[in-house]
Amino acid sequence: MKTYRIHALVCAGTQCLAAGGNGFKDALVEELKQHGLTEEVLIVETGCMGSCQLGPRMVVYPEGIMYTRLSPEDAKEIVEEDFLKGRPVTRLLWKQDEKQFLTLHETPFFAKQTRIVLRNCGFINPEDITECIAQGGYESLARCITEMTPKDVIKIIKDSGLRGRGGAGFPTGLKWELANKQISDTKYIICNADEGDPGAYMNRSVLEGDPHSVLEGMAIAGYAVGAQKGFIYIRAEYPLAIKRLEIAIKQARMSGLLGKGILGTNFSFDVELRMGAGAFVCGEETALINSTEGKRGEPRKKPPYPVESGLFGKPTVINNVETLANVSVIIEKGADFFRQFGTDKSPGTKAFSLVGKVNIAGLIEVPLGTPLRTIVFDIGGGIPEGHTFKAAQTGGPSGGVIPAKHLDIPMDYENLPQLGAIMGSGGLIVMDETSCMVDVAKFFLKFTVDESCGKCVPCREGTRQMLNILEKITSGLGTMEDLDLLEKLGNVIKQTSLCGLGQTAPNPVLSTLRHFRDEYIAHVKDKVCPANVCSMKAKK
Amino acid sequence: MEKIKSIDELRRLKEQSQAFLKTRQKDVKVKIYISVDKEENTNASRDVLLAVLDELKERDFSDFQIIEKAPMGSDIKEPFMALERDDLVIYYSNITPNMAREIIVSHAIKGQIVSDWVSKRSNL
Repeated sequence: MKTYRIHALVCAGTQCLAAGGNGFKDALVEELKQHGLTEEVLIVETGCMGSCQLGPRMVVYPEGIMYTRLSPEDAKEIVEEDFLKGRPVTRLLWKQDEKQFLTLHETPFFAKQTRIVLRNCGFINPEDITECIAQGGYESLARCITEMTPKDVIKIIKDSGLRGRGGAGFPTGLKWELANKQISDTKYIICNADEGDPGAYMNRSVLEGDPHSVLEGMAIAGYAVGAQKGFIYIRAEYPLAIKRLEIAIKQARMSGLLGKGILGTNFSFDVELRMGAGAFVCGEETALINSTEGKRGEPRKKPPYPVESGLFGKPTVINNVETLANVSVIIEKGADFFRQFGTDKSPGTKAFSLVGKVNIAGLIEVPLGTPLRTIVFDIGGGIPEGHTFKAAQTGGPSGGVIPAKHLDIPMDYENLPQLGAIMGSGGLIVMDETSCMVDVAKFFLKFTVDESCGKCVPCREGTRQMLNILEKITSGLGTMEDLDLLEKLGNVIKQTSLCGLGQTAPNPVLSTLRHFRDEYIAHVKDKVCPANVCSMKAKK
Repeated sequence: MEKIKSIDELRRLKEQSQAFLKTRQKDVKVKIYISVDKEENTNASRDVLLAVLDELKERDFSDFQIIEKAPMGSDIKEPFMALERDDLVIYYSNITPNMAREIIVSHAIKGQIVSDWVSKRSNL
């Protein structure tokens, strides 16, 4: 077996590539050739390492030295100083609060994280199944199909308390049990990879960095419910995730870990990709089913629920990427291990894409119940350029805002709804005092108006009317009655819309009205935008 | 890429693949520290490093990590090599590539310290 004294892990997640990561990698390859080190140094392209703001990034093992904000010009110095002389290039190390950090795990950004879902992201080559197997990949599937009954598998998942990470938080084990009980010759597993919230990229990062964890979770789900076929519904705007999934599926089939008679057993399971055209509504499970069937992506009435009658009218389990990435760890380490993290009702961890007005934006994973303050200030390093925290938006266009006075709220499925916010899939947008909350609400509502499929009146017409009112208010033409009307209309839309998109679309407006009503009043009565964002046509 | 036909085959493949990832892992059997050349035109430490790599490859031993170290002080003459194994660090100083090869075979792989060449030892 060939061994290398240095493994140089270059982040090849979308963010680092967008920041010029390929240019650095190409320069590094060239320098290694020039210095005759190609037999000593292995370059590994990984998925997202987190801390995306500091990309392009590289971690050099065995010491785990982490380099940030790399450019092609840095490659020569790293090779000559670090690879040949063992001297870290200090100017490229992570610097924060006047301190310099040599390795990844010393940084506050990583020290307060718990990585279950992201365990392999940034550590393995996602295009090499053997690296995944080295980390225990597919061993849980092997155990399930050789040592456990489907009911044993469901019991562990139920005992773990794993809840769907797509937003609603429905208990995964219960969903599997309901599907298992359905009598049908055909059942399906669908992985919902239609991540569409603005600013959210947790699922894309898992698929780019550790696609096999999702394939394994799907196969285990298939075994538990009696399905032999799975689909991954992924938006076409994720080309890198699609490429890595295609490679992973091919390698898993060639290795006998997908397909007929997996590991010599009677269990067969295979996975196909279905590319979505990027409609936000297709993240809603029944619209997703329609789209997977080749129909227009519009939601269906429930009941019947997908576990009863889903894809092609057959019982179907739909799980989110992050949910499925948790499964093999729970099987491997047990329900009690999983319950060590998080809270009693929200066990485990949650991945967030921490973006917006925060010093260190990036992909993070923390135990559920972690206070928002810890996420924004300890992990994210606080608010840049002397500004102050104003609010955080969770759940994207379906969620709500958390104001500064609730910074200590535990981030879990129980506490967020009490403030009118939701967990959502994990998009977390931080705002400072320069953000106008009326404008923020308008931004998210405009998004849902654009993305409404138009099938039901409350969503199609109601959100449009709400947007018209917000446009009036941000132009300085609003009245106090408009605020009451927004609330009334929002509540009607929530109660009467056909699917989750419409039922949650008013949330950003309702939650900003609840927590920042004074800002709305300033726009209406004083004809002033306190954050100086809205172009008020009518001055007082 | 051959089909894996049983859970035992999967576990064997896992063990083999883990060996490849040793450079990235926290726990390895042997950590080998090797000095770096101070002067641009000298290759003494580099020659030791290449000999070590060659010997490890020859012996198909993968449970190791190599870490380059700056000079250690006057009592450890370069080129030097230090081996961390079984909670003990043994320093060998003023070594040649051939000595390095013998240290790898005796100490790193078999666990037998080459006493004649030891210049310092310390517990972890």
